Amino acid sequence: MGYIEIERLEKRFGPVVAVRDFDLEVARDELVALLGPSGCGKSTTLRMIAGLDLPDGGRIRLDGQDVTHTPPHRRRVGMVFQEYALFPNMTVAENIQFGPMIAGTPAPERARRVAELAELTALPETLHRYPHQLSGGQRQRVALARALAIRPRVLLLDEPLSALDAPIRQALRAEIRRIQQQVRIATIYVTHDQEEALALADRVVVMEAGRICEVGMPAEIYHRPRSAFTAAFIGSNNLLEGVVVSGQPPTVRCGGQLLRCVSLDGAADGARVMVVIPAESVQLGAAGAGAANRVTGVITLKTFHGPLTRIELAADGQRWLALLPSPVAAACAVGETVSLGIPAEACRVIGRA
Amino acid sequence: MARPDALDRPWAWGTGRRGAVSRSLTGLGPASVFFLYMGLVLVAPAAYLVWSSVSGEGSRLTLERYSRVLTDPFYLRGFQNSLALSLLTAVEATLAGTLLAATFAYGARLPFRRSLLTLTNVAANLGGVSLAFAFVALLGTNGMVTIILRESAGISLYPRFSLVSLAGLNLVYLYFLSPFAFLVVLPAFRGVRRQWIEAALTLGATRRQFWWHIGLPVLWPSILAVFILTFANAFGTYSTAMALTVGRVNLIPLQIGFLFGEAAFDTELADALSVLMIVVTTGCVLAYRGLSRRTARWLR
Amino acid sequence: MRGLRLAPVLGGALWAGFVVYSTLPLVATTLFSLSRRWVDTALPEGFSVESYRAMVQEAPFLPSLGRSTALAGGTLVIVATLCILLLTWVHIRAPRLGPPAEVISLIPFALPWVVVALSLVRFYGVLYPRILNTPLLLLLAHGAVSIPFMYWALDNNLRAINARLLYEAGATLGARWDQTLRYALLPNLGPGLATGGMLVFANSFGEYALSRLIVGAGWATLPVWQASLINRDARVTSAITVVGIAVAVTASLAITVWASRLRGEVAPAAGRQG
Repeated sequence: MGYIEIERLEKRFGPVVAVRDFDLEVARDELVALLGPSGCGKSTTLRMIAGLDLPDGGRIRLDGQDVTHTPPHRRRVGMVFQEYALFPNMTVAENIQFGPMIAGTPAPERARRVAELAELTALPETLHRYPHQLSGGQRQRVALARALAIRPRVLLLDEPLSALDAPIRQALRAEIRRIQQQVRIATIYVTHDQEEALALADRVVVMEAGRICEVGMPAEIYHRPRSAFTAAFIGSNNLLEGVVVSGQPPTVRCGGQLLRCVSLDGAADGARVMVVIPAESVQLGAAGAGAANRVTGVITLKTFHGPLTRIELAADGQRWLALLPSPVAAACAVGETVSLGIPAEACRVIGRA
Repeated sequence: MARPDALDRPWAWGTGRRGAVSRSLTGLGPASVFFLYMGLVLVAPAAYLVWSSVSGEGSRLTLERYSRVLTDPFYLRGFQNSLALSLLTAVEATLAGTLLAATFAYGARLPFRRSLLTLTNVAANLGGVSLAFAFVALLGTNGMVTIILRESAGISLYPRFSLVSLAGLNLVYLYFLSPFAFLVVLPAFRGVRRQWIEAALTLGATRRQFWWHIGLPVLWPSILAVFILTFANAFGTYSTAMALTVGRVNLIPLQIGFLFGEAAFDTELADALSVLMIVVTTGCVLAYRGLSRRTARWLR
Repeated sequence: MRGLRLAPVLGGALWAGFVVYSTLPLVATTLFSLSRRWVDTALPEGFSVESYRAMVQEAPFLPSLGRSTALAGGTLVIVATLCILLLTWVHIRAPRLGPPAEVISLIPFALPWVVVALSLVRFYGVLYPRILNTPLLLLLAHGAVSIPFMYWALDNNLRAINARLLYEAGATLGARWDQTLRYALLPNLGPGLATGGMLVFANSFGEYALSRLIVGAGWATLPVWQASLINRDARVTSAITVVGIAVAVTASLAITVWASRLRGEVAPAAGRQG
């Protein structure tokens, strides 16, 4: 049984259904990311787990105990907010030991815990400073230390890094993961940044419009998305609509193109399907010579992204996306007609989700 | 700070050969109208008043007027009354205003919130004379409540209670000072972020513990600031007191008003009294400002 | 939100008490103004509009009403002009002027209005005695002391629309400062101007201290006339008071309606009696 068990969670705001049919189990030292666009219900779900919003249906169990109706201050969940929510009238040390103080922990033990957590979250000598004197990254560490000071059963993070600058985000991300693994605590991490989710999580839950779209390990979600939404949201994928033409070998007609795919995922002849082709598996020119699928198109846009270059092409009325190593991409220019090669293994069929 | 602004164009008043005054005014631009106006209408006259209160024969400085005022039992009484009344009403109004604001900002569904806000604005903006008369109509010798108490409960307010007294003034001052305190303190309550409360809850604290450890400590400077400002407001009030008591109660603003147009020897006392008032009210405004800035810094 | 509510019953009771306390004097006045005879009964013995007729027939009524309205209107124009010129400049080009301007806007709080009257009489008594006892001096005084009423509303409004950003955008598109003001800023300053404006108007209309001490009965505004009657003719005074109440209510209604479009404080100006 999972440490966190969520069953058929549902939440409505007036006529709007924010969350529905949400089922999830999280193991004791697992970090699960809730990933999705704004408004998909991920923060609402998190708040229900924390007890800050009451669900309209379903159950939440922590370590076997049903907490669905337990008020937040008795749930022992540690929560880290997007805007830190540090208490402005208290120093860093006072913020961290707030929870234990409320619980009645004696002073020497509190001091010990503050020291322990300051070390864990790599907070330098800031214990006597006030929040308004700290940088964003430091504030977030304090928020984390404060949440962990109560020895919570579960750690909940609500887009903790979105208010920070990019380089700090990277560093802090690694820190959070390190700390989570060191403390070995069940963690739910809400984010709209797919890179963050893929880098941090043991499992990723992709949400769309209040429902779970897909759950899986980062590599699975990335390489083998099972729904069109996930394929569109994560990574750079070409998504083509088509009709199954034959099962042996698996072929789909997309527009004017016949594509040989790796499998049909059980779809019958004549079924309408989506074909997912990762942009990085599209090869240009000679490199794609031996591929099972060949398409000719005109380059419409080249965007340089450092090690990779993103190339958009128009072929047959379809828009294609290719992601190539920059040295290779340097050879071609916008307006050029090139041929694309796509291996069959790169073409995956998913049902019309 | 003035970044070299590539889009800068000389203001219409022009640079060049107009001299230093014009150039510094260029920096002020149209804002200079404001400063000029306030300078001529408020600052210069007030400064002149201060100077005139200490200037003696043949450009000597003298504190003679101050000593006359401060040794006169009549004016001392006036100060005592003014300070006591202002202090008391400020405490009452701040308490009421704070509780009202707390309820308004965090209370359960208060019906007609907009109407309540309108009402507080009305009470705050009624005007001295109208307010005075309204209370006469309510609690005067033939006021509505006076009559009701007399006819239906046999309680006769007068002559034990009189509207024309410090106690009566207290009641009337409260009418406009409470909504004033409320309106000034309300933004401070909005400044207590909901996320702090949520964080405290997840950390195991109850609502009450939150207010005790975080809410009140963050709020008290603002509440104190409001108290000080309310005190200054009450202290400087003339209209309401004058309209209601016509001088039968000894308050300093009223005395200053009476010294207008008296013989020269006595009008000079008005200068001293005024400067003493300025000291009090300016001190209050400075304290208010200091507290507000401190709070603002914390909440960054 | 859960966990946020104070004892709702207490709060409700407090507000109920406040509502009663605030409306009672207004009710008493209105009833009195409409009563024919009211000496020892809980409610008036008969109703009539005699007080209003008497008020309107009094010689000073129309002139004083006109004066108060003109004064309030003139004050509004002065205050709006000064504040717009000052605050738009501060927000757009000279943020460094912000703190000194704010300090000056607090001066009317630091100076009791009696003192303002006295200082004006002293100062201009020496500098330019011809302006003493004139409505002009009173108007100028009102303009100065009413600044705080509009200052905060306008300041918040400018901040809310991010005036600096709009100016920069306008500048890159070729607009001068005053053009940006006219096309991009002023149209968006409605809430601030309206809210502040109502406060300025209502306050100036009902103001007594300066009106009495600077011009007095020589140019009696409505409150000055009203005060002179307060112990002489209660009926007419009550009618005038109802007029005053009506002005305050109208202004306050307008303020709350417009202020909802303006997030931020409208106080600390409201409630100055002077």
